[in-house]
Amino acid sequence: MSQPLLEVRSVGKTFVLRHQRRRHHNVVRAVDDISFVVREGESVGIAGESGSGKSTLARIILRLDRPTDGEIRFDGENIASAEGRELMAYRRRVQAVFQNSSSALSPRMRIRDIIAEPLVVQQPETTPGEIDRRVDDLLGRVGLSPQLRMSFPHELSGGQKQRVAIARSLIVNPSMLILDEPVSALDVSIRSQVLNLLLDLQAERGLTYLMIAHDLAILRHVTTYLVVMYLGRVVEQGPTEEVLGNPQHPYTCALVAASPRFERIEKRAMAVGDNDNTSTIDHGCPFAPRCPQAEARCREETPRLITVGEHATAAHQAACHVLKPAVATTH
Amino acid sequence: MSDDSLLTVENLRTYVHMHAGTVRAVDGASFSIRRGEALGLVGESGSGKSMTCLAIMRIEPRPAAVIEGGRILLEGENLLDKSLEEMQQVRGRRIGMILQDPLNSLNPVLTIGNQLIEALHLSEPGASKADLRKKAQAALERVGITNAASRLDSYPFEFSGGMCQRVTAAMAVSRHPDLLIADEPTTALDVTTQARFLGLLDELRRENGMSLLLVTHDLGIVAETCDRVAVMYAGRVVETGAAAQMLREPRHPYTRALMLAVPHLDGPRTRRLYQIPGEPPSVRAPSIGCRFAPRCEQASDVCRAKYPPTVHYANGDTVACWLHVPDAAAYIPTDALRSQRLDGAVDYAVGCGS
Repeated sequence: MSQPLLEVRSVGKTFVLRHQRRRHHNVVRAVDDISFVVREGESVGIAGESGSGKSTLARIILRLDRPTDGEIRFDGENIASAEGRELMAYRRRVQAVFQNSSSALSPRMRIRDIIAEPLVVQQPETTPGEIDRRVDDLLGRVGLSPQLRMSFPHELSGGQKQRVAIARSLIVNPSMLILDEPVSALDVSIRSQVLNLLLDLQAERGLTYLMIAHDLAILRHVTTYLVVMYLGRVVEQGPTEEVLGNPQHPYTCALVAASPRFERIEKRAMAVGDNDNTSTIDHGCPFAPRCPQAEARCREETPRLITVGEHATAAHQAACHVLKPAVATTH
Repeated sequence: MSDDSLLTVENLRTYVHMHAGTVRAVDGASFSIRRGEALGLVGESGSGKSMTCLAIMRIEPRPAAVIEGGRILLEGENLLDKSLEEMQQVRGRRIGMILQDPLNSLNPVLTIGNQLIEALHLSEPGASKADLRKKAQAALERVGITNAASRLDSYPFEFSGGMCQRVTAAMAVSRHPDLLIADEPTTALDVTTQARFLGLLDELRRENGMSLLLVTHDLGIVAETCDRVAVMYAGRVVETGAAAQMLREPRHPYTRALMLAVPHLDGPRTRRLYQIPGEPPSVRAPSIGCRFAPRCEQASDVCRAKYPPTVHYANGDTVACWLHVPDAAAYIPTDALRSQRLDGAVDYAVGCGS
């Protein structure tokens, strides 16, 4: 197995909500005790609904936010509190593609300058001729005509803009891309083009992907290892096929059951309530208020990740006191 | 079409006039909804699905958008012939509507209870306030909101997206419409919330004997909630048929491409997805020929020269594609390049069923 490239170790992030009139402050644990490893050339997925903390986690890994707990090791170095030169070097190796390409691209910059910007920041000594050559190479590689070089983002369609965002992320030859919902804003016919492009680029350049998405089918398509988050905590993680084919945690089961499919299936009655609780839970399982199988213990004691699944391959873990017996999958 | 149809849209054309030119948002769309059935209207952005819904309610954005032609028959009455006053009797009472963003469809400064009571008051102008409040509470309970009595005094911002959408559903069905139009009602919701809301819509439809027009871009949602599907592309309906059948054997190349382009949760993993080449056509430039032809792998000369006629099957299915017209090549017009508009081709009837 290849080397671990990124190691996330018990990472947590708490935000303090200050109330003007009240003495006491509320603490929100947006991300709590997350650990996983991304190996070189691998694709790891993070699944979860809104409020699960998946985007906060992405921001922490990109070091747009600092974690309040834990370590993030990239190639062995802890970058959780890196600054200056060190952070700059890290950012040359880790780049990002975000969901909304319209707001990710500056409306007043031309496509050439948008794509070149990371290079200009990282290697200011690059000559204009060299920049042009690399921008043209990348435009061609992501399937855009070099004629778009002097266009502005508003002249491009959503799919083209996302291709520009991908080209920009690749210009400094990073080892890893953080993809935060890269295709959810795109139409179905454009989505498959971009997904194929991402997979081709990975094969060509040996890129490592960390992909955040709410669509399980897309995560299954792209990733080999999956982390399922709920209200800031990991509820289940393991090889993607294993987690989706044989989900153990009641929340993962609910997610898998709720995902639309082409074949009309007998839906298992998943009596889960709406994701309403914005309140912070200090103790107990975060999913307990919605869980059809919750017991008294679930509301008092936070479950830890334990190894589950048929193969007991240490890799498949879930955090649940009431572990489900083997789940009947639908095929 | 068939006799039990509740709503029939025939050759609807809605154009949006802008400085930059005229956008043919809906350009000859035809489909029908039967009584009590759920029809999924599927298409990508810009295909004209929302504009079609707005036209049915006659709330297309005026003055830019103009319904240029066609008919919208509700139980045989053409809604396009009605005055706007007459339409008030149709909106809400005979056709209800749920929009995509639940927070924007509720008034932020009125309590949930007051908004529900307002809707209920319209159906029973004589009822007392206490009575209406009781009914509003029952309506909230019906859509699965717990502690309904105290929730009546909440404001929309205190509700989650899923709950707000349940409230809009409660309002939309409060006057027992014959048809409920839901325009991407779950796009803003999480997957588990979406599944619950679609389940609720299905229950409400069966209870009230309503028909449902569900607009979505997700074929998976259609598979699970709809009886029939109409697929739109560039302002036109390219295929209609029973959901289960169509998702097994799509007739139109666009429908097939849409299905192959999405990854699945079950079955073997395909490493490469089918890629529909190019981008959806610009609705601004009217083209001759099939709108999908430039992206279609099976396109031939006739596809590029002339818009295909709609082929009707005995079971009510339709498809607008030359591949399903016998002897298609014979229809290539000799003056194809000079003629500006060749669309209004004669409809075709195919005797045998699917």
